[in-house]
Amino acid sequence: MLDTLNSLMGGFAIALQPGNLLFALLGSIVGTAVGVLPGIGPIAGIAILMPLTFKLDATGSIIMLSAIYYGAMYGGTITSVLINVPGEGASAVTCIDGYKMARKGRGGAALAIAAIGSFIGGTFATIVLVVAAPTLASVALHFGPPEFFALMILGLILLVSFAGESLLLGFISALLGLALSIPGSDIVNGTPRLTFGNIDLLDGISFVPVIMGLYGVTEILTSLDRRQEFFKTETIGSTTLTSDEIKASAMPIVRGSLLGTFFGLIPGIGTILPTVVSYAMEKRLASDPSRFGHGAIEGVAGPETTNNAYANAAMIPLFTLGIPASPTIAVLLGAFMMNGLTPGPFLFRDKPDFVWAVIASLYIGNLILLILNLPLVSIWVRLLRIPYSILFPAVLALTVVGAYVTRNSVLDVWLVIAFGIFGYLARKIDFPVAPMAFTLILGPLTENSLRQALSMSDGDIAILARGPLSASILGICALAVIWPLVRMVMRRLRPA
Amino acid sequence: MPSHLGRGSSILGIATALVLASGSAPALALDYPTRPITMLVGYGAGGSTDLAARIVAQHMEKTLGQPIIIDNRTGGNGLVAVAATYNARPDGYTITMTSGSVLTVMPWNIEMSFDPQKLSIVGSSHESLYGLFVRADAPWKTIDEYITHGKANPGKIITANSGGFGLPDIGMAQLVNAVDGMRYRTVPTTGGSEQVLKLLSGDVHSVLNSMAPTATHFRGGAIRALLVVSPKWPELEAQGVPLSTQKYGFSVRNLSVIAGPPGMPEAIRAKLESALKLAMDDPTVMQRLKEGVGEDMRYRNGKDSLKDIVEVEAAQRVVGTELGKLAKP
Repeated sequence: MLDTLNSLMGGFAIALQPGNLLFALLGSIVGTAVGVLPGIGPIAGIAILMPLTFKLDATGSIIMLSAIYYGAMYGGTITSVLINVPGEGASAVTCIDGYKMARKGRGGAALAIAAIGSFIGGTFATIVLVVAAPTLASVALHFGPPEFFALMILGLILLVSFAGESLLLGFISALLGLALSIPGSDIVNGTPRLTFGNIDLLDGISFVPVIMGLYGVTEILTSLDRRQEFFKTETIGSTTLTSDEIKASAMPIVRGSLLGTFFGLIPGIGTILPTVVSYAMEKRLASDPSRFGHGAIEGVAGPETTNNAYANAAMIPLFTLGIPASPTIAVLLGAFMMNGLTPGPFLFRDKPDFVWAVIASLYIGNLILLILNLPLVSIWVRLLRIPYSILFPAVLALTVVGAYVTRNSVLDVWLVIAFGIFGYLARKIDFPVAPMAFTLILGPLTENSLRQALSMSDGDIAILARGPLSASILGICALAVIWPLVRMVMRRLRPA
Repeated sequence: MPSHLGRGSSILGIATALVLASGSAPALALDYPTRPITMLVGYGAGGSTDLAARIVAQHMEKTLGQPIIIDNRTGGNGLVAVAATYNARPDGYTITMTSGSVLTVMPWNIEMSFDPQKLSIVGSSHESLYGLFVRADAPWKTIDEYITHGKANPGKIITANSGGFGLPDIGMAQLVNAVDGMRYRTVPTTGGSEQVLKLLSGDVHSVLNSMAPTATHFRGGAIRALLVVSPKWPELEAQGVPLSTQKYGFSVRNLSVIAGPPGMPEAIRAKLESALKLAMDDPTVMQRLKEGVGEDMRYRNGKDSLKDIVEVEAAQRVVGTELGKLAKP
């Protein structure tokens, strides 16, 4: 333990050098900017800056690129809360309650708690990395296709928390999302499915344009319909958190940190599932779940902490196994390798100075982002004072450009518009679109893990409960479905 | 005063104009590049093809005097980027770096609306190194033990491929053919690093994989190579791993090439080719390529690349025919 602390101090010494500090700062700023711009994710930011790293030293480059990565998590929250446009998947859940908070004049509070929660979550994950990385490396290895599948089923079940008033419409929404996830390439045969000969569909219907349409464009269309001033100036409200809000957020932040760190250890799980689980968990554990969907601060604190904890924890499989947890981390992995650093168990042994410097810089980066973002909250919130005749076209333009920029595909632009209209019509009949958006992402993950599991077992379905891990997760799923039924039956029996 | 520009002067004038015109015509044709060039890469940022493209492009930019923008156009295992290049204007401002399998496997494996071999091949930057890997604690120490076990327990050996039907599948098929049959099962994955993860976690017994995702693991001792399946792999050969060319008479080849749309003017193609050669001749570039990409980094010009591509496609098509994997039999 003392050894570790020593190495960590050494890491701080390197990370706090003015040059490296500057890189962390630069990365954080670029990351936040990249996160704010809808459609442009951290991958673009990191990829663009990769060649720059040739001119700089390896440590500094990696520090900067990592800062972009988790900076983008912070940035994505800003547009989600203020204009209901999720910058990328991780912020989609934040839109649900965060935006409602902004409409009630608590936008500043939402951003503030998101910044604080993200800091705590990220720091927690970094501490875990420092203390237990080698032990936790094997967690990734225990999550094979059957365990993955079980987690996905759990995620699908938890989507019921997003169904709103009508469970039936929620189911239909989820099924629609699953249907939309079918077009693409078959993982087993590589053949195109339902692409209608369109090359742009070979990778499936892209998630980012869909959520930008369903949330951002829908919001604009709905507001125009109501002919309401987007935000009245007096509803901007204060940007400081009330003590009630802080009290309400405390436990969600704790739970979010644990949840996000856990999920970060599992490569390939993506950012959607952790935030969905966090939201569902907070809703279930809240004393008054009906507040969710209307501006409950727990619905922001939990998911935001989770996604930042996840982002930082995802470095663990990278450092210990050399396995990238997500496409964004894969880019970081590439950057490592380009600079002559091979991630994996031997990185700690062969280049300890570098590893500890990057770890120290993770913590510093989180701190920088907190310092950068908290004061900026009041500035961001002023965006809401812009008259909507200017704001709407600007947001629309940003959204459309963001949709195109992700894949240089005009199809994505059509998707944003189409789903914007769909979302607008859905609002009219109180049709929940969140389940649809989330099954769009969870669907392929579920299908792929199921097919991989069945390939492994030559068709024997028993493999899905092959070990204590998958069996217990499936058990929790069964419980989640059966328990409410049991409760309902018991309640019916009691008055008799 | 009468004009000095009499007939003699005008003849001189015309003659001068003609001389100037003939002398400068070729120079005018090579007014390229005058704006940034886009290089489409059909794989995710950070992957080996992407890294190779970025490293090489960074040097080529200096030679060509215009920025080269890397555009990761993923989809269809690399097909989307190649298709986009194929359909682009052949003015030299849209090129692609692609893995060979799009040109050697896909044309016969899936229904393609175009022939990728018609692309204007600029050159090749590297060829993949492939090997058959098992976990370090696996009971088989040599490829013979692995094969014996596989034959004695049909359908029990599980291997992970890289999704769809690709080079790992072709390699396994050729291996199995060379040893007169062995039934194995395949788990599909989304690519090289997922293959390694499945191997490390014990979900599969073996993988046929390239150097980029495996290097850190076999150097660290977590996995072990039983067979080299590409034409060569010096690092593994030095450790005594046998070559499939020598032992079984087959090899799996995958050249990554840079190409432009069909009908790209030869002058432009040649300029790109020489920029590529200059980049690959630079020792810093080579160093970065060896570290970051790690495959068999070797420059090949356009003509030789195309020749190799045609050869490899024919060979892999034969394997595909035997496996019944042709889209149009």
